[in-house]
Amino acid sequence: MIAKSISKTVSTALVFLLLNMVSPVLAQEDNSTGPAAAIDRSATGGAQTLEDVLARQANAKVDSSFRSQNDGSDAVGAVTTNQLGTLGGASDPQLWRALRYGSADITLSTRTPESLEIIQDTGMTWLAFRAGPLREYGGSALLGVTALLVLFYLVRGRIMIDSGLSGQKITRFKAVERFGHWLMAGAFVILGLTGLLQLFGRVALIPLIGHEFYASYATIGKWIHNNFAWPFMIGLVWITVCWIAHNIPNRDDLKWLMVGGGLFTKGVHPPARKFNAGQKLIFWAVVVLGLSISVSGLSLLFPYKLELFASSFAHINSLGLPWLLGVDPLPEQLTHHAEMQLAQVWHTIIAFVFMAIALAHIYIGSVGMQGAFAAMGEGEVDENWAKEHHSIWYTDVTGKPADHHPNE
Amino acid sequence: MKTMYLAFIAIVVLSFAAQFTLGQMGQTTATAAAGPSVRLD
Repeated sequence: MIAKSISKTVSTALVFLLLNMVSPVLAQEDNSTGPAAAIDRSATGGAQTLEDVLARQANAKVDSSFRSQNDGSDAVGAVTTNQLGTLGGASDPQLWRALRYGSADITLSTRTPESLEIIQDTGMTWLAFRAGPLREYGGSALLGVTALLVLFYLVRGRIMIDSGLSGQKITRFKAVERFGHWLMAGAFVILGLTGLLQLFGRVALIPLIGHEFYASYATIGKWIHNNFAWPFMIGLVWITVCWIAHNIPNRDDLKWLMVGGGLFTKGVHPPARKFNAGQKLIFWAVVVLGLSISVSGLSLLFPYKLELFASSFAHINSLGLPWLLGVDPLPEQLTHHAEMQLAQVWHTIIAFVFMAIALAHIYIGSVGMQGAFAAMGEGEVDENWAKEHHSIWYTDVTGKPADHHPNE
Repeated sequence: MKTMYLAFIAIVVLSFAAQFTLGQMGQTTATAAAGPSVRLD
């Protein structure tokens, strides 16, 4: 079903694709594409028939009301005036169905709403997705980006300062800017590593280090992941405040994009202000993805306190997006556990996209370009680097012309 | 590079501060997952 949802939506919109991919409820038996089939259940006394099973296998609509309503309650149970009243007449299957469909009259010592969901059958769909496509596609994306960067390095080599080092330095980033950057970036790297090890630990680490050591690591890793989230979020707000004004798109960005920023051609240096179009794309990706991963992370940090998906789905439905895309409306009724499962899956998908972008950013800011790391490491860059990569900014700051731009 | 190292130290300090603050607010896993009826104290 997940693959089917992917095939439905991949050609339309990424956001909607993700929502469909991660929605366990869409993978339930009631999610189907074919018309409802009226099935005669008289032969089974109202219970499931072979036709039900076949219809489910064929992804046709299956009316499950014969199960959800057959829960031994007063409405469908034995007549209370009979010797065996409703309670005495309820079978075990009826009781289990009542638990599954949330109609059982039960009392628990922990009286929170989510604890009453004793059976939550979307959990297995979530588990299968987490252990399958989420690991496979996410891991492949990171490996693919890494391979592309290695290939780029082999073909293009390190991007050097064409006119060589001048020996003259110019301040690129103030300490307050660098602090915010490293606060977020440092936390992000640790969050990424601990997140990956939590996701892949069972298949990648346990065979190497054993269950006992992994259990200790997982406990520490979870603590780190939960608590490093706070400096990450502070850093995100910090850099957003510092740099948002410099990242408003302008027409210079088009010139920069038209020549691919000169990344693929030696000697090409399109003009740029403090941030070029590539850096602006990174900035806005970080802001949007960082906000999304922070909100979904908060939902996971405070379970059942910040449930986002049912209301988001309702909003998407109200905008008519499913209708435009020709798919079924998104579910607007979700169990508390399904909300957490969706938050976990969404958090992880966003994290993979974020990490893939961050890999490219880290590459170009370190081994990929001569003199780039100094900008954020020491706050100063060589003047020739500034002239070649940020000529407009160089002129604004120094008042001197930058004369290294054949494409300007 | 001093700024970078300072930020890394701040990450650790903020993490412990977050843990402590949330603990003081009763937002630890232990307290969040327990109700009065199942506590033994």
